[in-house]
Amino acid sequence: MSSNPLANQLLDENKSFMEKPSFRWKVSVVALIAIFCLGLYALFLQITEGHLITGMRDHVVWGVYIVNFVFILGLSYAGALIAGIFHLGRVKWAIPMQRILKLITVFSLIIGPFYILLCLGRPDRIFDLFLYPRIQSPIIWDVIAIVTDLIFCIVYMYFTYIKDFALLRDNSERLNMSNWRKKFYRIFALGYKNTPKQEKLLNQALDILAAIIIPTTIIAYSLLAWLFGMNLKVGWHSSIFAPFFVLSAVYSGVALVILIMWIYRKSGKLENTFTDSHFTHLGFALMVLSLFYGYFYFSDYITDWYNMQKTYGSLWEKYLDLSQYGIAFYSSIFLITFLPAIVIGIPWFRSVKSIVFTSGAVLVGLWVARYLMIVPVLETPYLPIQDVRPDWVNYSATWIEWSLSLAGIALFILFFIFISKLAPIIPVSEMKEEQEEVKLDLSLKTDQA
Amino acid sequence: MMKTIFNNQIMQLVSPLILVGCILFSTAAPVNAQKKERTRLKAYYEKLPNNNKKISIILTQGKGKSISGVQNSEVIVSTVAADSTLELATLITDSQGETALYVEPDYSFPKNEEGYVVINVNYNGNDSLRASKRKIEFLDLNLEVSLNIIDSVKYVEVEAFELDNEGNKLPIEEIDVNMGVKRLYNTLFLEEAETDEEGIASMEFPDNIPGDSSGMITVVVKLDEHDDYGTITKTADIDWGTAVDYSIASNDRSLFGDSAPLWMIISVAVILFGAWFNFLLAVYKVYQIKKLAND
Repeated sequence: MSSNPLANQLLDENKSFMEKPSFRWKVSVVALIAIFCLGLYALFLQITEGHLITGMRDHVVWGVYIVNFVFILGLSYAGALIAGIFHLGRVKWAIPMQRILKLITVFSLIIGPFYILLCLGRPDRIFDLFLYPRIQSPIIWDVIAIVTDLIFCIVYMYFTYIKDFALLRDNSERLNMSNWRKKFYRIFALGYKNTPKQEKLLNQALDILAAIIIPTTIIAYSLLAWLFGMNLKVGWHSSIFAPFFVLSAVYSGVALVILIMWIYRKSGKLENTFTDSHFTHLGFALMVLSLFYGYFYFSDYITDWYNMQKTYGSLWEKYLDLSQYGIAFYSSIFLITFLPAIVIGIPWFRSVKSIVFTSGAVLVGLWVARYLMIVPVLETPYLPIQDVRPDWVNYSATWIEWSLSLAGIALFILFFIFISKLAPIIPVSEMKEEQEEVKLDLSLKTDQA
Repeated sequence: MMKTIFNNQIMQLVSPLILVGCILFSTAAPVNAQKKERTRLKAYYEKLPNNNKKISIILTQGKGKSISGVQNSEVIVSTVAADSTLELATLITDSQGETALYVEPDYSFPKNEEGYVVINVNYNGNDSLRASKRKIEFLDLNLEVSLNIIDSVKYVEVEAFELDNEGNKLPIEEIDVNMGVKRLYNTLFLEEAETDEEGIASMEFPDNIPGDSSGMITVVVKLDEHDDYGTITKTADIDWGTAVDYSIASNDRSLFGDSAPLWMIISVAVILFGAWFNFLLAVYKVYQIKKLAND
């Protein structure tokens, strides 16, 4: 493999991961660790003093934590789903972003479930879920789905690294790598030497995993949707919830990929890898998804509106009232459904920067939409809440919850920063093969000419 | 010269003002610093089915939507006997600012000249909360319930009376009493009636009220928040309900039963088996890569 000049050239172009950490890198890492430590302190306080120091109470038992859980798991499933479809569809232009998608999947799947644990008043009873499971319970479905998906996605991500590890192992002497790197690449390359038989086996393994990860993620996120939908609550009890959740997940996943690609393009000088056309392609995907989202949202609302019950009406009053959730509601609708259509749909507005900005806005809008899906619903039960303090009826997150939310984001970025030091953020071997194919095509044409 | 006169005149006018200002400021400052929040006490009298008497107390602070209970605070309950005050108990409020005093049936409260029991509830305040007090007065009314069947019709008869000093019954008329049956979470009220000049109210009991497996029900008679008598509840158990079999077949496979439906178990097993089989197949293929390298 090392004798291949194309591979060497691509590796040389993307060897920034081996460079010594810059001052800026170190400052970023320290700042992120500090945010993470603040989260750990908040966690310590929550464990020692109980949920009383959060905004969660008897009626609104779920708050920012569950919002984060749903949102982050959506990102994860989206990463796996999009990566699987791109892989099986042999979408060549999407190869550079494949690794980012898989990393989003795994890191989100590691971080997301922690937020559900933070919601538990008695986390010491978590093992009861495994000791006394009831297969009828949507919570058990979710536990099985998350655990299965996490294992599958970690293994899938690792398999996609094997070719690159082998390439790095073979170039270790030429690139003057440290001993630990040499040892690491040697072990995890699993003796891969790019022989036709080995390549066939690896491709078969990747195809199988991609094929099972697509339905697994759809089922897993649908199960999470059913966790809400099976509740006889206004705003939740809806048959459209599962496809709506999957659509939202893909939508948020595409937005996050655009954002991460742009960060790497800016910081890693990857203009030639993550080209303008990547952003345009994904930008159009974002726009189409925004229209689908609007369609689903309207369909869900109009169905309920025709038979609006009293409690459902009071929930919608909260959404539409500017003194309650109105500002958040209208903002999220604008950011999710209208902004992408305006910015990406009208050529005058369309640029890499505007697409990246829209992606960030969509992510914020989708998080707010999840918040609106959970908190106002819990504040509007069928039986009216009476004779309790107002601060028990209306949820307001405390600094503990915000700190732990920020800690999750910090950990997500830290994971990306550290994994970027292990291997190139783009699948070099896959890209090499792509370029080889292009070269072969060209040479054939030349011969014919 | 003019300057001196001006200064003197000004000073003569200003000096007392400054002095008064200083005095006002020096006294006003501590008052502002010690501004206390107002508290409010509520107290209710209730006679329970076992004839225990209960004085429920709620201590709150704030006003409007920001009202909240004052927790862990001492509340003193006393009664007025002749010209003196007899302290009954010192209670501590709970997290919602609530507390209650329970009095045994054989304890008889001292009464004033009009026959009323007078209860005073006091909260002495603290550094941040003002003191507050509440007085309630009530008469000691008794309710007796008898359950009769006349010509196959079931009747709940309630007798309302006070006792004089010799223990004789004094019937109380024009008292509205409610009759109902105890359900799982609350009382289902069925009928309301007013006591006649003999202090008796009679209400017909319906035939179609579900009871337990042997038809037992608990009849509840209640006088609710009367201005003079407070709240009085009496209960009686009798087999006037229709017998209902609540037992559930334990072997039923259902969503909410002990065992899951078979289709659900099979579906989950097939999906999990299919996914894990393929996953292990993929892992085996990668294992072969390593094996090929070793060969």
